[in-house]
Amino acid sequence: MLFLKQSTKIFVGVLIIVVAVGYLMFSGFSNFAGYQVTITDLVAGEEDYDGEYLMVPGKLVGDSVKFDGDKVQLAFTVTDGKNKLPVIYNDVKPDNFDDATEVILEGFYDKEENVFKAEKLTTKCPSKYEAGSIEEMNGELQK
Amino acid sequence: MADLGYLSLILALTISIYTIIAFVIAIKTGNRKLKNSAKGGVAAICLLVTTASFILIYHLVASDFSIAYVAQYTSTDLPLFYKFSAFWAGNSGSLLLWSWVLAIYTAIITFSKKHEQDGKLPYVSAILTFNNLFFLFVMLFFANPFIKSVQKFGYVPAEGSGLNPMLQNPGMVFHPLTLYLGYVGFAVPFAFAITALILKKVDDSWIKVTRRWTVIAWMFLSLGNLYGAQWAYVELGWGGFWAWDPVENASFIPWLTGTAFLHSVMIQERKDMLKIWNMALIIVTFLSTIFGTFLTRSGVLQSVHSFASNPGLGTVFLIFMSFVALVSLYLLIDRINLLKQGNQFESYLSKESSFLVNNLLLVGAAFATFWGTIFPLISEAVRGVRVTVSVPFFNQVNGPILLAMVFVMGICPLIAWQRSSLKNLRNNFMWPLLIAAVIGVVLYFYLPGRQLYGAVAFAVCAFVILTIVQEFYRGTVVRHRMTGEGYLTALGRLTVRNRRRYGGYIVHLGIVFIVLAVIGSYGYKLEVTKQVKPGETITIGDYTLTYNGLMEKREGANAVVYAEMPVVKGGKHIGTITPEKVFYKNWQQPGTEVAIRGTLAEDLYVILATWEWDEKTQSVTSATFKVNVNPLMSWMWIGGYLLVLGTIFAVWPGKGSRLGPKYTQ
Repeated sequence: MLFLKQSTKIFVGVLIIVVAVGYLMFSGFSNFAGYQVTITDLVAGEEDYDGEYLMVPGKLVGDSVKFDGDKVQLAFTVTDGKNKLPVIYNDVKPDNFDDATEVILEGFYDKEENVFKAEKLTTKCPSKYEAGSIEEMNGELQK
Repeated sequence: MADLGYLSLILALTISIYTIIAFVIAIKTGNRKLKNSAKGGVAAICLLVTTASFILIYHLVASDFSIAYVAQYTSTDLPLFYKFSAFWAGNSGSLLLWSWVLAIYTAIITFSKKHEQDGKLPYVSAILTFNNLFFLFVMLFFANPFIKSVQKFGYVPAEGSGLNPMLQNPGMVFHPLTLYLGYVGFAVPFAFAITALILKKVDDSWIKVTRRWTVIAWMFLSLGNLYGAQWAYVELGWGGFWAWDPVENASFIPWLTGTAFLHSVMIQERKDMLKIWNMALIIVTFLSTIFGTFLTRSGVLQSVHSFASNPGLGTVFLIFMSFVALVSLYLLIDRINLLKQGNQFESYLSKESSFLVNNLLLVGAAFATFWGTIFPLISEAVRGVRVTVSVPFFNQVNGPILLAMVFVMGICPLIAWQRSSLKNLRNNFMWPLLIAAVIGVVLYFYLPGRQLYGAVAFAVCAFVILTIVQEFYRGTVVRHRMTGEGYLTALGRLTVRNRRRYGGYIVHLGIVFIVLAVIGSYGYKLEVTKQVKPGETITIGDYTLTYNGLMEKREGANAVVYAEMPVVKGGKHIGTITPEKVFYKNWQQPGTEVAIRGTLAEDLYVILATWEWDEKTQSVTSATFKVNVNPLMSWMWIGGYLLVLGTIFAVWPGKGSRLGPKYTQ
C-alpha cells in the first residue's frame, strides 16, 4: 500500500465502502425479499409459495375474527372477492382491526393446512386519513 | 369566505406565472422596474396564500361544515387546538401548508438585504416561485381545499366526521408541521445551487449564503422524523417507533442525503473540493423531498400513511419530478468542466477523506433505503411480480452502515486537515478507543444474551461520546492555560466563540443519544403478551404487574375502559400503571392508550389489548395485556432536544458564528 499513489488509495477506500454496501444490500435482498401475491394466486394458483415470505392484501370477512387469549392467537379469514384465506396470527388484535376493510398480511402460507401464518399485520382503513362519504360517516355515528 | 380563499389561490397562481416571466425578462433586459415588479409579485403571492390559509383556519375553527374539508376532518366537539391542526390533517390542506411555507420562504429570500446587490436573486426567486406554481396548480386542479360540501356530498352535513383519534396527539400536530418546514427548507439551497449552475458561478458563495437555511431545514427534518417516531411510540401501541414504512423511508432519505450535504459542503468551503458531489447531493435531496410527497399522495405503494389514492395527482407529481430531474441533470452535465476544477485529495488519512467516508456511508444508506422502498415497483415492471422487502431488510442493511457512520462521527472532527500523522491519531484517539473497548467487553458479559453486535454498537457510541468530551476538555484546558480564566468561564467562552464547531459537537452528542436508544430498544427489548384473570400477575424482567380487574369511566364524550395495575420492581412497590382503551363517541374503532412508565434506564410500556366477556354473568372474565420493557428509550427524546439546542447554538448569528480561515498551503 505504501507505494501506491494517494489517489489510488482513496479510490481503493471508496471501492471497499461501495462493495460493502452492495454486499449488505445483496444479502438483504436474498434473505428478506418476499412476493406480493393475491389470495387467488395463493389458494387456486399453480405456483408453489412454500417457504416464501409473502405479502398478501385482502378484505376481512366480517365475523370471522376469533381471539384465543390462552394461546394469544388471533384467527380470521380474508378474501379478495373470489377466494377465501384462513389466517392465524400469534399476537393481539391491532387497533382499527374490526372494521378495517383492508388488511395487508405478511408471513408464510401453509398449503397443506390451507392456512396463512401471518407475522405482521397492517390494517388499511379507508377513513383513516381521507374521510369516506358523509352518508357512511353519519351511518357510523348512529351506531 | 371560502370563495375568497379559492379566489386567492387562483390569483396567486396567475401572479406566479407573471412573476416568473417578469423575472426572466428582467434578467434578459436588465430592466430594474420589471425586477421590482416581480419582487412585488413574490410579496403578493405570499400575501394571497397567507390569506387563503387563514380563511381555511377560520372555517376550521368556526366548524363551518359547508366546506367539505372542514366536515371531513373536524367536528364541533373537537378541542380548538385540534380544529386548528386539522389544517394539515388531509391531502389538500397539507398541500396548502406546503405552499404557504414555500411562499413565506420565497418572500424572506427575495426581500433579504443580503441578496439585494447580488445578481443571483432574480434566478433564485424565479425558481422558488416556479416550485410554488406547481403546488398551487395541484391544489386548484386536483385537491382544492375550499371545495363545498354541496359539491362534494350533495348537501351540507349537520355535524362533521371528526378528526381520527389517532391524530389527536400533540406529536401528530407537530410532526407534519416540522417535517414540512424541513422539506420546504431544502428548496432554498436547491434554488441557489441551480442558480450557480445557470450563471456558471460555481464557487462556494451559494453554499455560504444558504448554510443557515440548510442547517435549519435539516433541524426541522430531524425534528419531524423524531415527532413521527414519538407519535408512533405513544399512540400506535405496537411498542416500536419506526417501521420502515415507505413514507417513513421517504422522509428518512432526504434526511440522510441532507446530512451528507451539510458535511460535504464544509469540504468545499475549506478546500474547494467535491463540487460536483455537492451539486448532485442538493439536487437529490430536493428531489427526494418531492418524492416523499409523491408517495403519500399517489397510492403507488401500500403504506399506512397514504392519503386516499389519487392517480391523477401522482402523475402530476411524477411529471414535475422528472422535469426537475432532467433540467438539473442537464445543467450539471453541461457545467461539469467548471465543477471539475479545484483541489485533489492529498492523503487518505485526512479530514477530507474521513468526510468522504461519512458521505459515502450516508448516501449508501439513502440508496439502500430508496431501493428497498421502490423495489416492489421495479420488480413488477421488470418481472411482473411485486417483490417486497420488509423490516429485517432495512435493519440488516442500514444497521451496520449507520453504525460505521457513527464511528466515523467520532473520527471526522478530530482528524487533521490535509494529512494526518500517526502521532496525531494516537494523540487523539488512543484513550477514547481503549476506554470504549473496555466498556464494550464489560457490556458484552454484563448484558443479557451476550450479543456481540449490541456490545460493539454500545462501544462505538462510547467512543464517540469520549472523543466529544475530550474535545471540550482539551479546549477548556488550553484556554485556561492561555488566558488564566477559571475552567467554567474558559469552557463558556471557548464554546460561544466557536459556535459552529461546538454546536456541531452538541448535535453529534444528540445523535449518539438517539442511536443509544435505537440499540437499546432493538437489541435488548423484553416483550410479554399474557391473558390474566383478576389477582393474577404478569412478570417481565424485574417488574411484576398485578391485574385486579377492569374499570370504566367517562371522559367527556368518550368511554374509557382501564386497568389499574400495581407495579413491583425488585420486591419494591413503585407505583401503579394504567393502560386504557378509549371508545370514542364519533369514531368507530376504539383506541389504545399506552401506559408508559419511563426512567432514564428503561420504559415499562403496557397495552390493554383485549378482554373476554362472559354473556351469562355479564362480566369481564379475563384481560390480555402486552407488556414491553424498552431500554434507553428516553435517550431518543433527550437526544432530540440536544440536537435542536446544538443546531440553534451553531447557527446563532454574530461574532463566533463564522468559520475559521480557508485552509491554504
